[in-house]
Amino acid sequence: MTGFDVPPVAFFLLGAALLPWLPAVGRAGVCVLFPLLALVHVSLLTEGAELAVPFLQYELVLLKVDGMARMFGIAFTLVAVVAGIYAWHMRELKQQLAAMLYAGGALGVVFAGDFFTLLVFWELMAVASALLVWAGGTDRAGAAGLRYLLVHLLGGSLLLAGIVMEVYTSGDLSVRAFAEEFSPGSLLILLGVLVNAGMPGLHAWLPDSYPKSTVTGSIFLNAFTTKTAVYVLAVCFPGWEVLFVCGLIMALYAVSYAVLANDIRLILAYHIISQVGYMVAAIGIGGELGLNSAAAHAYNNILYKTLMFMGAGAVLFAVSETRLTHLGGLFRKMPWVVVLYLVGAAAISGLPLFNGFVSKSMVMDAVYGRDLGYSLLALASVGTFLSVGIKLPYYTWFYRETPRELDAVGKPPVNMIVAMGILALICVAYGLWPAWQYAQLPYGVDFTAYRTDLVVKAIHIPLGTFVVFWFFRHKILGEAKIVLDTDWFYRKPASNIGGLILDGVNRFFGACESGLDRLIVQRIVPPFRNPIKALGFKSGQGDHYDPDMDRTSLGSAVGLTLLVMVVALVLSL
Amino acid sequence: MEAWVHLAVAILLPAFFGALVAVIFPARWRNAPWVTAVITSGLAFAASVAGLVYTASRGEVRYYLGGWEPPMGIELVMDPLSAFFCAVVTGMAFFVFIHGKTVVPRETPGKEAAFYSTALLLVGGLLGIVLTGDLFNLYVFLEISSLAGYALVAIGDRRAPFSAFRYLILGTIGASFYLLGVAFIAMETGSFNMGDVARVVPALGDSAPATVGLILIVFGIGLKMALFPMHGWLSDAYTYATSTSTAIIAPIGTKVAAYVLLRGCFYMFDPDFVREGIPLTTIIGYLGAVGIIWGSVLAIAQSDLKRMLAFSSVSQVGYIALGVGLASPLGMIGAVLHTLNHAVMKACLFLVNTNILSRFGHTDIRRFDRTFRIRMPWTMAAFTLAAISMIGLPPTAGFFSKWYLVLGSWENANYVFLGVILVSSLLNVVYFFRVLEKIYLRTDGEPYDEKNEREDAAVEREESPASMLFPTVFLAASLLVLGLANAFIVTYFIRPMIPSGL
Amino acid sequence: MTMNRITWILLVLTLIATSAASYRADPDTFPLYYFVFGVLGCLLMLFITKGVAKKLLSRKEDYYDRV
Repeated sequence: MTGFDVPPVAFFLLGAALLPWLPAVGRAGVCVLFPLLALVHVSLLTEGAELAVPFLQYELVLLKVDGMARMFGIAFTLVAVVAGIYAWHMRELKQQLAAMLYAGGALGVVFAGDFFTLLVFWELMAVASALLVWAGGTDRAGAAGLRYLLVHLLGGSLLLAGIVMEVYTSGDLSVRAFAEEFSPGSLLILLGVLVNAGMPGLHAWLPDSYPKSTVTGSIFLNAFTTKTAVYVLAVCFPGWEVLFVCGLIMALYAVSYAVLANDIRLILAYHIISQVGYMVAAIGIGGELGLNSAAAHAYNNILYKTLMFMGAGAVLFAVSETRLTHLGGLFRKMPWVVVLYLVGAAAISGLPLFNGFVSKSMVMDAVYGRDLGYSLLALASVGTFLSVGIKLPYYTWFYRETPRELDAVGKPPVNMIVAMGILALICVAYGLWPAWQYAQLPYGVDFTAYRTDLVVKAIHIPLGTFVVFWFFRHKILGEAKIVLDTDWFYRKPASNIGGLILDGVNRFFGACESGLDRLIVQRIVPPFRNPIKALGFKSGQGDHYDPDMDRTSLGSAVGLTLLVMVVALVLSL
Repeated sequence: MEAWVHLAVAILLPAFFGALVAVIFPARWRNAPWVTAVITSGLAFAASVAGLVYTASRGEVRYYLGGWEPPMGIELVMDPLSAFFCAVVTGMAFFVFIHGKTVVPRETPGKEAAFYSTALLLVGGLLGIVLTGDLFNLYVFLEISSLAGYALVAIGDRRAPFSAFRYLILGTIGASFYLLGVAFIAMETGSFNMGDVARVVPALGDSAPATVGLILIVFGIGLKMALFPMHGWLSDAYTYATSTSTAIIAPIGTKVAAYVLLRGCFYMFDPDFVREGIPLTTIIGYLGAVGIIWGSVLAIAQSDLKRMLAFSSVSQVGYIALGVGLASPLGMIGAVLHTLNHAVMKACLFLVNTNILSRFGHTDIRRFDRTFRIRMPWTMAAFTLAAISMIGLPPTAGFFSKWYLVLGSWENANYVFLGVILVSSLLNVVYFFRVLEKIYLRTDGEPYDEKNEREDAAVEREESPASMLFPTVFLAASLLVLGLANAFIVTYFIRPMIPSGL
Repeated sequence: MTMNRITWILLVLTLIATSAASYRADPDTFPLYYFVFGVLGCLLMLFITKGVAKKLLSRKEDYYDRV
C-alpha cells in the first residue's frame, strides 16, 4: 500500500493508548484487532518504503522496509494477534498495556532505519517486558523482574555507548551492516545485542525471568526480545565469524540446561536460547543462504515456540504447577492441548512435514562444510528432541497417574485452544508447502527441503534419541531440583556480599548515628533553641526562645542601626 | 501613546478611591467594604499588568500630575522596574483581600470598613512610592503607607498596640533618616526629581553631601525593609497583627522598601559609583548575608508558626539585599525575581497560617499533628509547596531566584555569599521540615500501625471555605508556574529594567 | 503412553525404509549414521549433563530463597 507508509508500531501505540479507556471486553478486542490491522499493514508494505523525520542535524528513519524487516514484522504481528486471542480471557489492564507496548517496541526496532530510533524502541521493549515479568505477582517474579530490568538496562547502555561511538566516528546514524573488524563501537553494539539474544554468560536473565511470568506474559516474552536481537545481528553483523562460534555455544549450552531442567517453562526458556543459537550461527556463516536460513528459522521459531509456550501455559492455567516431578497423566484432561503442543514439538525437532524441518534443514545446509560445527548443531538437535520432543510431553501428560495434589484440574479456556490451533495449522502449512516460506525470504532461494538425505537425517536422529530415552525413562526424571546457571554470580553472592556490606554499613551508620545523635542532641541543637542565649546576650535566659524575654530592646535596635550607619559613613567618606 | 500615559495614574487611583468608598456604606451592608477592596485592588492589578506588558515592550511612561511639569510639578514614572513592583503589590493585595472575606469580620468584628479602608491606604501609599518620580513625594507616600501600616498592626490582639508602638518608633526613625537624606541630596543637586538628580549627580563627582544623603536614604529605608540589624520591629508586628494585616503587610511592605533601595542605588546614583566609589552595595550585601543566616537561625528557634514565618521574612529580605549587594545584572535579576517569588511564597504561607488559625485556634508548631493533613489536605498541600519553594528546590519559583543569586555570586567570585545561600537553604530545610514532619510523618515515634489508621479514619475533613482556599491554593500553584516560566519573566520583564551602568 | 509391540515394529520399519532410501540416493554414506549419532549423542548428553549437574550444579529448589 504505497502512500500509507506508517510505522507498524503506530498501531500498537494507538491500541495501547485506547486500552485504559475501554471496558474489559473491548480491551481484549483491541489486543487482537490492532495487531491484526498491523499484520495487514505490514504485509502490504512495499520494500523500499521509508518514513524519515528530521531531528537535530540527523534524520530519524521511523520506517524502512526491506525483505528481512518485513519477514520479522509479519512474524511479530502474526504472533501478537494469536497471543491476543490466547489472552482473550485475561482482563488485567496492566498486562495488556505492557504486551501492546512490548510488541510495538519489537516492531519499532525491526522497522527502525537509524540507531537512535532503534535504541528508543529497544528500551521500550525492556521496560514493557519487565512489567510482564512483574505481572507474575509473586515475590520471586518481583525479584526476577528487577534483575531482568537491570540486565537489560546494562545491555541498553552498552548498546547506547556503542551507538554513540559509532556515530561519532562515522557520522552515520543509519542501521547498516558493519565491516567485520572490532572497533570499540561495533564491539559494544554487538555485546549489547548479544545480551538480548541470550549469549551464554549474558543470558541468565532469560531462564531466570520467563518461567516466573504469567500464563499469558510468557507467550509475549518468548517471541520478541531474542528475535529482535537476531534481527539486529542479521542486519548489522552478517558473516561475522565470531557469531558462528557464539551460535554453537548458545545451541549446545542452553540445550544441556534444557535437558536438566525440571520446570516446563524453564525447559522452553532454555530452548529459546538454543534455537536462537542456530540462527546466530547461520548469521555467522553469512551470505544469502545463511541470512535466508536465519530469517526462516527465526520466523518458524516464533511460531512453534509460541505454540509450545501456549501449551505450557495451558498446563499452568489448569493445574497451577509446572514442575515435571509434580506433573503427570494429564493427557485426558486436555487432549487438544497435547496434540497441538506435539505439533510444535515436532516442528522444533525438525521432523519432516513441519515448518521447523524446512528452516532447520536450511540452517544445516548453510553450515554444511564446517564439520565440527555441523556435528555440534546436530548434537544440539538431539538435545532438543530429547528435552522438548519427548521429556516434556511425556512426563507432563503421560508417564503416570495424575498426582493427587492435582485432582482439581481446571480446563484451559477455548480461546487458548483456538490460538494454539491457529499456530499449529500455520506450522503444518509451512511444512507441507515450503515454497510459501521461500517466497517470503529476503533473498532468492535455491533450496529444496525435501531432499532424501535431509529427510532421512531428520527422522533418524529423533529415532535414535527416542530409543535411548525410552530405555532410561525411569531414571531421567530425577528429583525436584534446580540447576545453577550464571545468574548464580549475581544472585548468590549478591545476598552474601550484600549481607556482608549491609552488615558493615549498618554497623557503621549505627555508630555514626549514636555518635551524631549525641553530637546533635547535646551540642548542635541546644544553641538553636535559643540563639540569643547561645550568643551570650544578657536578655536570653531560658533554654527556649521566649518572644517576651528575648526580644531585642528598642534601644539596642536603634543603637545597632546607628552603629552600622556610622560604619558605612566612615567607610564611604 | 496618549491613552497609555494614564496607566500610571490608573494603577494609583483605585486604591485611594477605594479607601474613601469603603467607609461610606451603611453598616448593614456587611460585605460592601470587602467587595470594594477586592474590586479596586483587582482593577489596580489589571492596570499594573497592562502597564507591565506595555513598559516591557515600549519603555517608560511619564505622567505629570495636574499637568505640571517637573521640576515644579510631580511626575509619575512607570518604567519596567516600577511596573513590575506595582504588579507584585496589587496582585498580592488582590488575593489577600479575597482571602479576607470571612477572616476580617471574625478577627475584627465591626471594624471591616475601617480595616479595608486602611489596608487600601497602605496599598495606595506603597503604589505611590513605587510610581512617583519625586523624592519628597516619595516621602509623603512613605508616611501614608507607614501610618496605615501602624494602624493595621495596632488593630490586632491585646499585644498589638505594643508591637505597633515599636514599629512606629523604628519606622519614624527610618522615615526621618530618609527625609534627612533627601534634604542632603536636594541641597546638593537642587532638585527633588529623581531624573534630575540622576543627571546632576555624576557631574558632582565625589560629593560628600550626596553620599551622606544616599547613605541616610539607604539606612532609613533599610529600617522599613527590616534589613539586618534594623529588623527589630518586624517579628512582633507580624506576629501580633491580625491575620489579614500580616498577610498584606508581610509580602509587599518590605518589598517596596527594597524597590527604593534599588531605585536609589542603581538608578539615581551611578551604579559604578555606588559599587566602587563608596562600598555601599557591598555593605548592603553583607548585611543581607548576615540577615539571611540570623533570620533563619531565629526562625528555627520559634515555636509559633506565624513568628517563624516573620523571622523567615528577615532572612528572605536578606536575599534581596544580597542581590543588591552583588551590584551586577545577575544580582539584580536575582533580587527582583526574589521579590516576586518571596511575595507569592510569603503571602501563601501567611494565608496557610490564617487557615490553620481559623480552624484549629492556634499556630503552635508543637501542637501540630498528622490529623492536620486529613482535616485540611489542600491547605497542607499548599503549605508543602510553598515550603519547598522557600527551601529552593526546583522546579518551584524559589529555586530560580536563588539560582540567579548563586550565579551572580559565582560571577563576582564572592564565595561568602555563595556559602551563605547554600547554608541558609539547609537552615530553611530545618525549620520547614520540622513542620512538615509533624503534619505528614510524626506518629509519636511509633511506626504507623492499624491503630493510627483507625484514628485517622475517624478524623473528618474540615477544609477552609472557598474564599480562603482559592487564594491559598492559587498562590501555591502559581509558584510552580512562576518557576517554570522564570526564563520568560526574566527575559521579557526583568532584563529590560536593568540600568545601563550596571 | 505405552509402547506396544506394534509401535516398535512401526518404528523399526520406518528406520529400515528410510535407510533403504538413503542407500539408494547415496550408496557411499553409511545409512544408519544419524541413527547411531542420535543414540550416542543422546547417551552422551544425558550422562555428561546429568553427571556435571549432580556433581556441581544441582541445588535444592529453595536455594536462592535461603539467605
